[in-house]
Amino acid sequence: MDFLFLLFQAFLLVFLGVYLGVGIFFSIRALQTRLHHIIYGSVSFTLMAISQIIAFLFTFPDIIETILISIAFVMCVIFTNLTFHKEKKSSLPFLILIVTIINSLIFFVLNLLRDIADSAPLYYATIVHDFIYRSIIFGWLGWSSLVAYKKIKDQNIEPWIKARYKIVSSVSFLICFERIVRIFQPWYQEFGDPNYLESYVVFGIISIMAIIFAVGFALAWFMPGWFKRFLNKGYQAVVDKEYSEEELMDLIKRELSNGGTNGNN
Amino acid sequence: MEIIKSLGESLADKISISPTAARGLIKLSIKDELGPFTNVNKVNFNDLHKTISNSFKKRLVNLSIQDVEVITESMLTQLKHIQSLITMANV
Repeated sequence: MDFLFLLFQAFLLVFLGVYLGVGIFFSIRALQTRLHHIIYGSVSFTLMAISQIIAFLFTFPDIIETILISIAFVMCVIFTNLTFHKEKKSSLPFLILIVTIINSLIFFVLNLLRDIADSAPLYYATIVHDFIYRSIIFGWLGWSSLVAYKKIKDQNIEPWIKARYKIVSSVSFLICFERIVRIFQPWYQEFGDPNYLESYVVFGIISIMAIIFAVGFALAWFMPGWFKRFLNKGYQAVVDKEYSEEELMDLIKRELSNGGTNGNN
Repeated sequence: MEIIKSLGESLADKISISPTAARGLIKLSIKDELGPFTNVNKVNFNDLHKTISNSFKKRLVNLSIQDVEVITESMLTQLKHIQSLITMANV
């Protein structure tokens, strides 16, 4: 029992470590690649980790954790919108952002009420709301990644990139369901208390889901070289011959005169 | 860069040139738009959007391509559809 409890705790620590690591990694990559929008992802994942770490280590009021998570979730939606939906005609990304902001306020109020007077109906209302709230955020990321993957899956794109879409999509959907498990946590028991079987089982299931998410999320974003080479096995990379501007324009004109869509056809 | 490869293949289909030539045309347009020392592998969505709307369009006009407006619009739509490749391939 003790060993299992430590193992579940270790899973949750790895999960938080991955969030923090991806957050820091995104900041570095934003500076290196000029992809400034990934700063939103960086802030989001860093805050998700920090909010949990301070809840574990310090005795800050719960409301601080609630505020940090709310900011993290709004940032996550902005990251998803700027990565997958920039300048698209659809108003859905904007709508999702507004719904997320409204849900952040509801999340804040529910947690505030629980701080004042906790009760079973309030606990279950918070859990159900939290499930819907997280499903919108991570479901949106997962769905966006899945739809984008479907658009490029038949194109000549390096397989490791296609795999990144699939992993991000899968783990995002998985994390939506974490809150469903919380429904089985008795409201009057301390979460993860090994003295209560239900609480302990819920803690274990959530820890296992967290470690699956952490491994997937780490593989997707850190993607080590050996894993990229493994995924790219058999793939022929496109290497273009170097042309001067003159040579290239001559080539294009020649190809166009041989049947291209120019004014001479 | 994967997004240039993908846009290049789409352009090659549209104006019936080889994918190599199409990718070259896009890379030349990026340098026209953003300067000769721009690293074409480090462009973002805004850079590509601006490139296709301006210098790429001009290059098509200079090559006497038909339906430049339609091709440019279609390339911009394609860019919006596959924009995530910029992030997914570069993070």
